[in-house]
Amino acid sequence: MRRLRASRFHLVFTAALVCLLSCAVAPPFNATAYQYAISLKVESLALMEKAADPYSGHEAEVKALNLELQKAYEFSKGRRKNEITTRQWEILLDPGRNLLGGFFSRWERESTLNPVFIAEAKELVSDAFDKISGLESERIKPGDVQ
Amino acid sequence: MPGFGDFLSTVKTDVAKLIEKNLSDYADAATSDCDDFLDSIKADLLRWTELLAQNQLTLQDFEFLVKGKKDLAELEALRQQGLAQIRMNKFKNGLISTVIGAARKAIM
Repeated sequence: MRRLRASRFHLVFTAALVCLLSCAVAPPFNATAYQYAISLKVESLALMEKAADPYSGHEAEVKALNLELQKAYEFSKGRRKNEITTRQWEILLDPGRNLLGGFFSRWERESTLNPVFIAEAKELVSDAFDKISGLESERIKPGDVQ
Repeated sequence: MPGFGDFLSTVKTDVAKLIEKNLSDYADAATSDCDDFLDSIKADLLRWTELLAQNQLTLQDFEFLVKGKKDLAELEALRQQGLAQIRMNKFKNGLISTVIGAARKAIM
């Protein structure tokens, strides 16, 4: 009888502990989010390369890319417990800051940008995208949970 | 309840090993990331200063890049925060397996 009570106590204790511990603090890996970061990095860097040309000739491309970037941002915002990655996207896309959003904003204002500057800015933007996709790739994939 | 004593003892030992492994792995990775980022800041500032001196960058270009590096530092800090959350999740998963394993041993 005592052995049965002890076993039942073990089970209840274990179940309570498992419930308490099983709340995740970060979202799991999402393939769509990862794909967004990778493909938009490639497209963004390719368009930045054209910034030695007048902005007016590439305005439509910038607007089209900005639309895709907004979709990626909204997708990130819609995921639960994803505030950190969403904040990363905000910094990257903010036209008032100095990564991708700021680059396009400067290109529009100044019409053309200096090729040396473009090369250096591309490195920064490339790193920024890597930080977003890198974080996503570290997340726990559903098959990894045992 | 001798069975429960064994259960607690097993949990304590296994959890201590889990904590030690997780903390040391995380500390090593975070320190290495931090060092790499600081090295990249130094290298970039040196290169941009030289390009500015050679008039290959304007002052506005230089200012934009330096502020861009600051934005990148913020992204890196967020990344480290995110990695800490992921490691916490992995640690919790490991803890759950440990507790269940110890309970199984104690009951059988």
